[in-house]
Amino acid sequence: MGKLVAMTGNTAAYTGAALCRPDLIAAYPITPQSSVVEGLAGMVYNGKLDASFVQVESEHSAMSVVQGAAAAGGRVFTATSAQGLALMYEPYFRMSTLRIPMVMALATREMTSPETIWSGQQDAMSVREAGWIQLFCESNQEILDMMLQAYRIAEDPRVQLPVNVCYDGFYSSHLIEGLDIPSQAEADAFLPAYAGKTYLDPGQPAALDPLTPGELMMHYRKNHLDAMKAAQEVIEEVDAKFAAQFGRSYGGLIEEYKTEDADIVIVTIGGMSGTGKDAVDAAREKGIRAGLIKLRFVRPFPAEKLAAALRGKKAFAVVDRSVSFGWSCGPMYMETRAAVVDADSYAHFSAIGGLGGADLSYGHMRSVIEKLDAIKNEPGAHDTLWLMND
Amino acid sequence: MAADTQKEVQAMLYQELILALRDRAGDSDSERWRVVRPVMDKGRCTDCGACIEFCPMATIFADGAVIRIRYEGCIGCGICAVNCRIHAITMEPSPDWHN
Amino acid sequence: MSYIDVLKQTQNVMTPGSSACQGCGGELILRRVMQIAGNNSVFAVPPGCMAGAGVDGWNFSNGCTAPIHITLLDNTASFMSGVSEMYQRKGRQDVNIVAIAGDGATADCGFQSLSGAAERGTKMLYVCYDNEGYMNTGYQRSSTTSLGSSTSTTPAGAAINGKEQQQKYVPLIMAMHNIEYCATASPSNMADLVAKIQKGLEASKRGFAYLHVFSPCPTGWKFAPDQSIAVARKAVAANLCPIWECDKGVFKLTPNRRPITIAEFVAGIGKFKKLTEEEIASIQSLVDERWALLEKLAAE
Repeated sequence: MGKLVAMTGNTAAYTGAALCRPDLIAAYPITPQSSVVEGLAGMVYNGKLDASFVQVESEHSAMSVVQGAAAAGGRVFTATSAQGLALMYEPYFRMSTLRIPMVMALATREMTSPETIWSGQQDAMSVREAGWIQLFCESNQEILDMMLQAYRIAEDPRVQLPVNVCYDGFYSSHLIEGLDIPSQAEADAFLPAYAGKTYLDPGQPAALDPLTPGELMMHYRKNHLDAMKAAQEVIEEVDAKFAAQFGRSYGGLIEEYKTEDADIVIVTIGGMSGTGKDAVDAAREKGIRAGLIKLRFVRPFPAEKLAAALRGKKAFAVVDRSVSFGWSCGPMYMETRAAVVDADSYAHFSAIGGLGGADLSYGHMRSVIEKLDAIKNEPGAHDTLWLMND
Repeated sequence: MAADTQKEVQAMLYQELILALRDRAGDSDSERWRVVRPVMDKGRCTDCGACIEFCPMATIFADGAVIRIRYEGCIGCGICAVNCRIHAITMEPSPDWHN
Repeated sequence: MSYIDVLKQTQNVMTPGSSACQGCGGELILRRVMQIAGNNSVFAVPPGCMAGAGVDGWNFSNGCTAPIHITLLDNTASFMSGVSEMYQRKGRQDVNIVAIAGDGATADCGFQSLSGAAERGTKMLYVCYDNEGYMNTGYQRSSTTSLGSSTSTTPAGAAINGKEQQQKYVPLIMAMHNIEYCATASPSNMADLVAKIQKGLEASKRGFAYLHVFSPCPTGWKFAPDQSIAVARKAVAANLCPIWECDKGVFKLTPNRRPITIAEFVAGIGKFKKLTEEEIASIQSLVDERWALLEKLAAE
């Protein structure tokens, strides 16, 4: 094994990214991601990482620079949050639709307005239709480990899509946990050297992405959707390979926690999952048959796995750290409902909390379980539960 | 369907689609819609190359020492005629233009 | 080899035939840049006249025969920064990294990414063909459009008489970025343009090279297509397009031996039809002051 070190989520992100031997990094600082950029700069400027570090003047350029480098055959990395993600949306959408792999870290942060810099998942949720593979981490160890897994998933010939590794701004990015750091040799054994295609190559001249007629474009979009579907299998394979080499499995697309004999289930995303598990344990002690499903991958959305995990339960609630404007609920609740085809045979509701840095506490999770327990015999949709501290 | 057969079918469909789009794109040759085209009087022409210099469509070329007009891609803008220092090029009706 | 010999003997990289307008200055500039850069290059052309004309290839038989990418309107310089860095990293400094962009992508939408790439000293050549407007999308104004121009977004109308602002002068802004090479050129002065493309390519091996080229636009400016080169010549003579270069910080200004007035320049150009005496005088002051500034910069 590697060495055991205490580090923040951001440090885990850049340590993991560096182990993947990126050719080029271009990233713009933004709270709460800045130390990812600084950490990588430190490694490059001190000769600890052989990579080109490009000092960009905005996130739009960060994504554009890495896109150019990837088109020229490089393994690339960037990181951002909220406003930066919004600013880079134009080349971000193009990254996935060009079908060129890369990995990006997203320290999730609430979107302005109201003016904010704090934790939330609205930024990540806002881009879920941009064609990237998107996953959420619960712990700092998971952040580091998923950097390695993400490159493997992205670069798999069945996938060829960029991966967005998300983790909670501040709650994960800035807080310290103890990590097992793989050695460079171990990382190399897991993630081979990049053998990506050079798209812009004078030796093999071609136009990269010329004006495309609709009839052809529809094939490209279908291929993209098919690749997302194929990615589900690749995600499970990579989790298994990682477990075989490092002894840590995260469950692949979803993680199930005490769900086998559960009556009621909370579905969580990201760091809140730890709090949720504590609340489930406490409920179990009181004789409530509670369970938790951690939604690890949001894109591709693990519809079948989620539906299978919820089968036979009486009630479920999805805790979103974001909102779906126009639906009076959270976005992952909406998608979970869609995945569970016979949703109204369950009792279900959306829970929204932890917006803009507000704490999503143990007490909040307990209240979700309490409501689930109260309504579990009343199938159908129930009102959205706002986890406020009034 | 087996993965290989599926790939073959997909490749075939792509080929057909691309050929169909190519047909639909039509003729890129400007001959049929160009109204006028330049005609060089090689008797006056001194092969100075001013026409090559300024032709935006790169349709004038050097055939060894002699300058000739290829016409492929020429859209009859008239820049060559205007910039010829000794007026050795005139713009004349393009023979294939259909009114 | 004289520049005519260069043009005669160097193969074209862009195939014949495109859907550019008759007399398009941009096409002439693009073909020259590509021809001199050659096939050992990677080109980027953002949305605009040249991308619209099918430089990237549209009907499966025309287009650029070297690798090429239509970048986003606002990220040509940053995308190519990435390409350049990667080619450096591969030890392939021989590959020319060349962007050919209109004034919209350069002065407006992509100004930030251009400034960033220049400030970083990205090893690339960036050529702007400036036809003073977003011509491909219907002649809308840009920040390089001359005062008083009638464009589709600044029509010379009953209430407001065309564009209300003077043009923003991008080449001097670029020269203030400490870049390896910065120059202006016009297709009417072809020997000079060819030499500057060559110099720019050579400078791009050491850092950022920027070429701002006047691009006559018969369709958008409303003049006869066969007059493009004549209009470009007049733009130089009127000091609307002063010819200068800044090579590693040293300015050199090409003298203007037969200057003409702005009034003489605008005569016969449709977009300037409604210019008032005041506006003409205003543009005259602008070009005169700019010339004086360039003279000071070029003085030893």
